[in-house]
Amino acid sequence: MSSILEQIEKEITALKPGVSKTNTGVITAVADGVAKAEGLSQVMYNEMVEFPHGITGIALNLEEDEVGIVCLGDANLLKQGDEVKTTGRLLSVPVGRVMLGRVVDAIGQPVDGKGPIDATEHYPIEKIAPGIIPRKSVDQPLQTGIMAIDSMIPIGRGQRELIIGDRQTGKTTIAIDTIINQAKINRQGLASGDESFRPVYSIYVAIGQKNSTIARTINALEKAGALEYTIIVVAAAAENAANLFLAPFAGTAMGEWFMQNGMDALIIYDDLTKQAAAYRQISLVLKRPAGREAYPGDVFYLPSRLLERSARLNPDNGNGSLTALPIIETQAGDVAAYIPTNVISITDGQIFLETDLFNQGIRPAVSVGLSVSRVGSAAQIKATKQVAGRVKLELAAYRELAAFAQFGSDLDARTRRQLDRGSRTVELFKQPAYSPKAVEIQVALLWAMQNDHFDDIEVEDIVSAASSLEDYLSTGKQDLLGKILSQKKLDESIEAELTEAVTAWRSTFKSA
Amino acid sequence: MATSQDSKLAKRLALLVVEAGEQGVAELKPALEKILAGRSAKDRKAFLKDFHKAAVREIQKETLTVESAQSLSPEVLSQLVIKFSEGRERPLQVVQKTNPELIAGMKVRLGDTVYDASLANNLQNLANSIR
Repeated sequence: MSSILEQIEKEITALKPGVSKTNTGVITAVADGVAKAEGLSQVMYNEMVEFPHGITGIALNLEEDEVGIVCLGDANLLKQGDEVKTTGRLLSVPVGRVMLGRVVDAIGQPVDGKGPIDATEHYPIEKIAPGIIPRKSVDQPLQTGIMAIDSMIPIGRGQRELIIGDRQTGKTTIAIDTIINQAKINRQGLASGDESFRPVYSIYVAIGQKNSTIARTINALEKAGALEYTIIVVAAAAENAANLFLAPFAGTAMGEWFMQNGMDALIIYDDLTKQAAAYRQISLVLKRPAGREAYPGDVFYLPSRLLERSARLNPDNGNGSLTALPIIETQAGDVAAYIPTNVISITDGQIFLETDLFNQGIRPAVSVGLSVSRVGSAAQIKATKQVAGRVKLELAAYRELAAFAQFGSDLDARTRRQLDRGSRTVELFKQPAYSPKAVEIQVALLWAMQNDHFDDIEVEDIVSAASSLEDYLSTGKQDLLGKILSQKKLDESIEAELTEAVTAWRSTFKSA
Repeated sequence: MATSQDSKLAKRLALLVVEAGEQGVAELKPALEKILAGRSAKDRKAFLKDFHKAAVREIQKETLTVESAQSLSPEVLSQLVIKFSEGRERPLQVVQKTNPELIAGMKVRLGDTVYDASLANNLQNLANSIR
């Protein structure tokens, strides 16, 4: 109590009575979360303004006589004739390590009931992306823990990889798996005491989702022990369009703090389709001219100014990185729609998820043909390259052959072998949700597949065989897995040990 | 429906009237009659609405509104007018209001800019810094 009084006394002593100069205006209309105001002749674009009742807004439309302001609070409390003031500030959000483990809204205020956030730093939500000079090429892997992705569509730190697909195809699951895997790697790396280890902190931005879905995601992360390395930015479906539009920018500002302080961060925008729709809503209410699909002309600029801020910085600039995994929802698999093509053109590759594969039980339902990582194998460790170098081509060839093989039964031995290997690889890549695999396990499993150790196992038993081999290696062959992880490549001695281990396991494994 | 050209004309007319002062007001009626002749009732209404809005805005730019807890002496008001009229072609009109909620000090408005030197504002700033 006395300390509070002391603080108040200190503030009163330090108080310098002065004159404050503000530019003011008057609300002329409020509708759909957007206020129109007259006056405000000195307001700047994107400047924060203050309404009565502590409501803030952002000036988005500067016209000759009027200013269009999106409200960030409850616009129902505002009425015509209310005064609005400029603040001279851009919208900023709290940043830093204190944000980890917290769930915040689009302006960085906590919504998890864990008390206020004691942040010492704030970053503006809009910032110019790093230019060419401070950047470095992407060459460090960011393991998702999903075998199909890490082996065929590798993601590097600082990359922007789009996750795209129809509804209910497992897009969010891939994102959550990636966060969980980062937490697993962080825990192991920090426990090992390796000074060169660089943890990856995650930011998950939930845009326009149901509160129940968000709660389920938070629960999954908490259960997996990943929440302590994660910041969750929430703009739920029931919130106003301005929050949905701003939440990705707020999340990016939080991620940028890690990048600019020499750390690695991962940001997931789930999903940008809803942000674009929210921006369309705001633009239409602001009476901006509508273009294709009623989106405003500058909708292309929306994801680009967001995703360009993800980068890998060079050592002179702290060596930090911000990796982005934006999610886009397609309608009936149409990747050529307006927003999907926009985001595809900005990102460094995409993971395309197919409804048909998902319904066939191939999960994650990654379409090998349509998915690509433009960073390529530069973001893979050598061991993965050794075992997964040919997998993507083999699998693509398998899909083609499988389509033709439906029409005839007479197949030559080579084709049959390709089909057998392909169907086994498809089974091997099946992975349940929220169970990412460590890179050394992935290498061992792929090595076993490439070296014909799964060939005499029935296709329908591959999943259980892979799980059994994983258990066998992680319980009895930790040294071997440790060697793969530390050496990051497969030499003759490791391959000999792998042969021995897999042969020993094979003698114990019996098909169902 | 008033066109953007009509709107511009209304604004320009409002500016001219305010700049010309009393003479402008005397010449306003015939000018308006000439402009509005032959227009539909709807267009006339829209034009006059734009004109009114623009005139109010222009008048506010030329008016110094001084709010204080107690009424100020004419000397203080004239000093304020002299200070705020610096660099202007014409002296400002002054409107005085009393507002006990300011406690002490004053709040001056010129156009859409507000200078707040009231005690109430300083106390509010103090409260914000402690919160």
